[in-house]
Order: sequence, then structure tokens, then C-alpha cells
Amino acid sequence: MRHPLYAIYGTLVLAFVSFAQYQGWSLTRVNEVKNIPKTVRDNPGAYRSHYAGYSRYFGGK
Amino acid sequence: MSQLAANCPNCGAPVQFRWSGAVQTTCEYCRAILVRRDVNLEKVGEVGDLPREVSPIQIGTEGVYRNKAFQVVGRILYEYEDGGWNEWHIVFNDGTSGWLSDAQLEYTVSFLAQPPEPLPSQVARARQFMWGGVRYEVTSVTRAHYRGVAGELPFEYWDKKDVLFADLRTSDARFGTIDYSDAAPILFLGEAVEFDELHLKNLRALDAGATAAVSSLSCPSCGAPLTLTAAGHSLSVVCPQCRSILDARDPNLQVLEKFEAKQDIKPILPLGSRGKFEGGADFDLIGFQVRETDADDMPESWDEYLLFNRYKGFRYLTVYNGHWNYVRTVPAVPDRIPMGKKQAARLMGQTYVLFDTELATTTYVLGEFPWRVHVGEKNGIKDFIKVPRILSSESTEEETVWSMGEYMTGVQVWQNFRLPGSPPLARGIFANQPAPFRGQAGSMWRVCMNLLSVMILLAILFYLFAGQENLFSRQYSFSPQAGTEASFVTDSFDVKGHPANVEISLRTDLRNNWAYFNLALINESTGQGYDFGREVSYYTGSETEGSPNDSVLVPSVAPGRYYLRVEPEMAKNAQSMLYTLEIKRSVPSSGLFLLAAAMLLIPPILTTWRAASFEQRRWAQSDFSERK
Repeated sequence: MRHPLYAIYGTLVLAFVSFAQYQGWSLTRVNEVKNIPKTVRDNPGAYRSHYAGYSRYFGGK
Repeated sequence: MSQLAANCPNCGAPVQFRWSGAVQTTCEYCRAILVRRDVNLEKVGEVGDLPREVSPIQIGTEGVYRNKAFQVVGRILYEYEDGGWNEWHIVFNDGTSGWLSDAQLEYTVSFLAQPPEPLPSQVARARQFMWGGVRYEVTSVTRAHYRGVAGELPFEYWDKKDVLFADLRTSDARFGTIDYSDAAPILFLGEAVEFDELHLKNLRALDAGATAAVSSLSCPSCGAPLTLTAAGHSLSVVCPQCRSILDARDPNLQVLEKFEAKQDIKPILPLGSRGKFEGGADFDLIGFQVRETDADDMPESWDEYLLFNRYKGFRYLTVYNGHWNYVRTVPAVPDRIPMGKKQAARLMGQTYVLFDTELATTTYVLGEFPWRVHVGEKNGIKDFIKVPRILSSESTEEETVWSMGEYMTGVQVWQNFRLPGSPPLARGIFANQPAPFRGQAGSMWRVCMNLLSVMILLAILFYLFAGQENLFSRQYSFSPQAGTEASFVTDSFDVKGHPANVEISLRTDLRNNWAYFNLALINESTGQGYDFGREVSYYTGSETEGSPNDSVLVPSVAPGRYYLRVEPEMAKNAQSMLYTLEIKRSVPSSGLFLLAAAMLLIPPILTTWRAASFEQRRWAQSDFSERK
């Protein structure tokens, strides 16, 4: 092998991507919220999404 | 005469013939030159005093040329203005004979040849002949002085005085000589050979030291002690005290000239040092000169060291800005060929591209030299490169000498001379300096392709074996005009196994409309949730925009029991929509593999870029840079 360091680096990259894939890691993020009250189950309207009420423009024709 | 032994007609000593075809020999006792006449030996003259022996070859030396054993049986010695050379008569074990020439320890083997065309009565340097499809060029025309003979020769040769020789070379180290010593010129053809490849035995015993014949002398001008390491080969020796250039061949060391220098220059490699080159052969450092060029009106100087080995001859070490080259003269004349907009030279099957032309002036000299060294001497230099080699021609009005240099680092030079400390760091890029990444980019791309292949294989495996476990799927409807609470939660579902991504897909029947979904994937027991919103819009007509479907990937969801809170939104006057929510676990994703591919591509791209950048900077210094 003429480039042992590169081969090691490449192997680590492939090992990392395999592990990340297995663990379900993603390049996209979603907002994580802790301690959502259990009452949401019974009263979904009481929960306010982080994204609710934002002004949105959806375009269209 | 058939016998191989006779008695000297002059002194009666026994005369032994090594070769039955010999016409002439010399008596080892009385030095009479003897010629065979029918059955008798006749004395035709006497061998005069010959100069000090400096060739390692002697009569009786044995060797091998092209797998044929030979023995040296005779010798003709010539002298000319810039030195002398030996023509050793060699006899092969099949009875044929040829000539081994030793000119300042550069060796050629040649044989009498039938000229393909009538030979001219006179030739000039640079004249070319096409013989057998090979271009021979006259590289030197030498009027030599016959100095003496010894041993057995294939013809009578004892009464010569001045003799004219024309030496010819080719681009593949073939060699020729037109000998004008007789009324009709005769041709010898052969090739340049290395000392080592002749496997010579029974060489002359060394005078002193392991490699050199050292003579200790004193300067006739100032009395300073001088050392002649290559005595017999050197033509000039420089007194370090008074800067007199002396005739090294003159026993009295006649002063040829004195030169002025602005300052004393101390060579970074001490004269007298011994270093190992060419597979461990010892070379003595015997000379030093500084040469200067004023290319681009910017004076630049470099140093040249002269190395000497008694068997292998002279070599050179040049250094410029910490860049070293090990140089030796080339026994060939390269073919000049066009190469696009550039010029090139072809030698021994290799093409060298013209890099620089300059006029070099010798400004400082020290030590001894095998030529008449002269401060202020100017040479036109052309450098052709094929990294890590540099092919150079040095021209004066009288001759052109070709030499081949191979790049060395200062560390290698220091190691070869076993010098303490470390060499000065190299600055800038030199013409034939190997690029640090030269040759690496290609092999690195090959490794990269292998890694990418493995990555694609991994991606296929993940795609084939990803769980893609269906966790939930249900269809809903939403009408913004209903006026009821839009938000609701789904039934709970279990996410099992190791942490994995969860994909939530939305498939709607929207058409020329939009909807927004506030979504929260909530762990029933821990209260931890993933909150996100997705817009879905789909418009179609003359053009199509958006999509009625969408999905979101929630990364690394821990196992547990989950439900989804859903809160759709639409324009208040919009018609109702039907939509399906589908939740899957462990869905293959290409994003990570694309990231990995990018990471794998970075090193070879960087290496390729650095190699290209190095070549660009190298050629920016060339006379033939496109920038100039």
C-alpha cells in the first residue's frame, strides 16, 4: 500500500459512516424538546409546536 | 612465425607473445620495439620515457566485454594540448581484437570497421554521418602527439608524430573514431562503457591511498603547500593562498595566471573530503568553482564541486540555493527534437525538455581540475529537464560538453560525506527537483477508487439489509372549514432495537393548494419529543411546482413507545384534504454516504492540486515559462 495514512483515514471514514448509518445519524436535524407534558396525549391542542404561528409564505399561482 | 615465444634481437631476453596475430611488440627488458619480419623479430626503435602511469589499466589486465573475455596485450599512448589518452589493444579469447580507450578515465571499446561510405579526407566538429540508420556526430577533432607504444599491436606503429583523430558520438552512447594517422583514413566503431561493467582484473597497483595518487607540492609563487590528488589527470591546480592557477602537468607547476576575487570563499564541503557515490565507490572532493549568470539582470551564482575516483574518473556536485545535483559527463550527443512550442533533447531513449539557457561565467576556483581552468571563462549553458534529471550542454567556441545531473537533497550529500550537522535548507524550487507529490496523485486516486468502491458496496448492503420497519400507517382527512380543533395524536407505536432513524412520510391529495403540518414525535414515557414542521404544496398547470408528498427523517431515535402529535394547517377557505401518515424505522439514507465520499475525495484532490501547483511554480522560473 503506497498511502498507508490515507488508507487508514479512508477506513476510518468508512467505519464512521457505517456506524453512523447503523445508529441512524443524519445530516439533518430536528428540534428536540424535553419534558413534554403527558397531558398532550389527552389534550393535543394544549401543546404549542415550536413552529406553530410562524408566518409562512407558500407561493403558488 | 608460428611460435608464441622468441628472443629479443637487441638484448636476447625472452619475448613472449600473448596474441598470435601480433605484428609488433616491445621487449620488456631493453624496451626495444620489435616487428615481426617473416620468421624473425627486427628491432625498429626504442620506447622513450613515458609519463607517469595514471591509468588503472596495464598490459595483462583482463576483463569482459559483452560476455567475451579479453586481455590487454598492447598500448598506444597519445598526448594533446589538454591531456592524453591510452588506446589499449585488447584480444578476445576467440582471437579477435579491438581497442579499449581510456581518456581521463572515460572508457570506450571500439573495433576496426568497414566504412559504410568513403570517409572524408577531413572533417570538422558537428559534421554528421548516417551509418546504418544511426546519426553519428563529430564531437571533437584532435591533433594528438604520438607518445609511445608498449606490448603487442596488430600493425606496425612506432614512427608516428602528430596524428589527427575525429571522435564521433550518437544519442545512444555509440562511439566512433576516424583515424587519420595513415594515408587513407580508417574507421573504428564501438560504444562507451562503464569501468565497472568491464569487470577488470589485474589492474595496476595504486600509487598511494585507496583511490587516488596523491602528490604533495608547493606553490612556486608563494610556497604554500599544495596537494595533487588526481596527479596525471589534473591539468590545473589553484593555490589557495595566492590564487595562482598552476599547470598541474608541469613538474615545476608553472604559474598560468592569477585571479582576483572580492573575497575568500570557503566551500561548504571541505576540499579533500571523501564521499560515497555510485553504489559505495569513494570519491575525493578535489576542486571547487563558483559560476555566475546574470540572467534577467539578476546575478545568480552557484557552486560546483569536482569529485575524483581513480577508476571511475571525474564527477561533479552542483549546488544552488540548497538544491544539489550529482553530475557526470555524458558520452553521447542527444538528438534535438521539437516538442510543441518547446525544444527537447532525446538521449538514451529519454526526452528532456529545454528549461533554461544562460551564459555562465567562472568567478572563483579552488583545488585541481582536469581542464585548463580560467576565471572569467564563459560558457553557454542549456538545461533540459526530465525530473529528477537535468541534461546540460556547455558550449564554447571549440566544443560542446553534455552532462547529466541527478537531483540530490542536502541531507543525502551530508550523509554521503558523513559530514556533521545538517545542510543549509533548500530554498525555492529547482529545475529538476522532484515534486513532493510527484507520482503520488495517481496512486492516491487508485486507493481512493478502491475506498469508494468499498463505500458503494457498504451503501448497497445497508440499502438491502436496512430494516425499513413499518411502525404506523393511517389515512386522515382535514377540512379547515370544519372549525374544530385541528391537532390530534396518533395511536402509540413501539420503536424497538438499537437507536435508528425514523422516517415520517406525508402523502396528500393536494392539488393547486398547500398545507402545513406541525408534527411532534413524542416518547410516551420520557416526555422527550422531536418537534418539526413540514410544508406540503403542489401546484400544477402549465408548469408544475412542489409535490403533494413529503417526508422527514428524525435521526437516531432511541427505542421506546411513541406517538405522533399532528396539527395540520390550511388556508381557511381551502377544500378538505385527505392525507396518509406513514412512519418507518431504519430507513437507508444517502446523505452520510455522500459526506463520506466527499471526505474520501479531499486528500487526492489536495494532492493533485499541490502537485500541479508545484509544476506551475517550477516552470514559472523557466526561460520558456508561458508567463515570460
